Amino acid sequence: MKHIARLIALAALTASSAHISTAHAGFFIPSDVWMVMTTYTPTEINTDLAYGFNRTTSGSIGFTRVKEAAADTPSGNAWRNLITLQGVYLVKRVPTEEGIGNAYVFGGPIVEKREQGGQQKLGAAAGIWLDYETRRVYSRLKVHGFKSEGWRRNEVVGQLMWAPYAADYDDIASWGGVQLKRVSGERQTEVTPYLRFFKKTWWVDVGVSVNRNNRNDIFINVMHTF
Amino acid sequence: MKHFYSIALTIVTALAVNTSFAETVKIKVDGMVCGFCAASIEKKMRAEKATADVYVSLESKIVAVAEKPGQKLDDARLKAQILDAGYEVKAIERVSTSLAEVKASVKAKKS
Repeated sequence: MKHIARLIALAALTASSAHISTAHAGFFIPSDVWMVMTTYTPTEINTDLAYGFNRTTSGSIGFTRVKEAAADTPSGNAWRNLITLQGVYLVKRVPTEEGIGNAYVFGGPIVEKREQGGQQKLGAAAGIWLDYETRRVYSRLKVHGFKSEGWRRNEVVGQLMWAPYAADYDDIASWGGVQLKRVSGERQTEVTPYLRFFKKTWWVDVGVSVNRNNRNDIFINVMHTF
Repeated sequence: MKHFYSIALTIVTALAVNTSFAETVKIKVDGMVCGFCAASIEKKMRAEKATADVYVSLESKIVAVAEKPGQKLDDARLKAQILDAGYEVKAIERVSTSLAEVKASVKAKKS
């Protein structure tokens, strides 16, 4: 009953939002835990609020603003705003002596609107998320698709990270790694070396893109669980 | 004098009751490799009414939960809560040492 009430609260929050937005973290939240996360790059801004309903299911709402190539604007770009109500399901978890592997599927309805002369449209998003981590190595692969009438966006994101020391719970954990991101319609794969720091309930990623199209684009991701 | 003995006896009895029931529950957890995993488990352990304090070590893969004096944590419930958080319990043991001593012992093993 408590979970249903929280789901209704999340849905109400989505419905009452003045913006058109989307949650696209695809990130699983442990049972009874809330998470707020915000990501900034010059081509994408995203904020998610998520809650873990039980050990296999979590849900989120969020707002995303993405910059896309557009032939019909003077700048050659257009911004698109999305709202997504998303469910995430843990398909398989494999805990081992050294680490943990997870496979998730996620998806849900979206509302999207292009800022430059677009109409508000209903659509859907779905994807898969695979990760494996130990105390020194983190890897993940995400495939995420968005679809509404006349618009489609596909993303593939891979991350590989390494920690120079195995931090304990009370320590600040420091990681270095690289993110590769390929978005449909773009000619280049975005390459972003970045650093991650986290301690208990706070998590910060900072990186800078190095490929030609997005050179020196800063990437910041802040997450907090409560 | 009679009053003094009865007051002293009451205090000693109260102290004995408090210390004898204040145990620490040590739980070995598989798959707990990052602070994010541990934070969700810690939150669940702290939500238990009989919990006085919690200590988590990723290095030792243990979650240690101190009981409030005179109160008892239910091992089966703790196990279920960790399972619900998405992790597996490998073992649960009760020790009569304090949480601070458990923490010191883990830190001594690390160094």
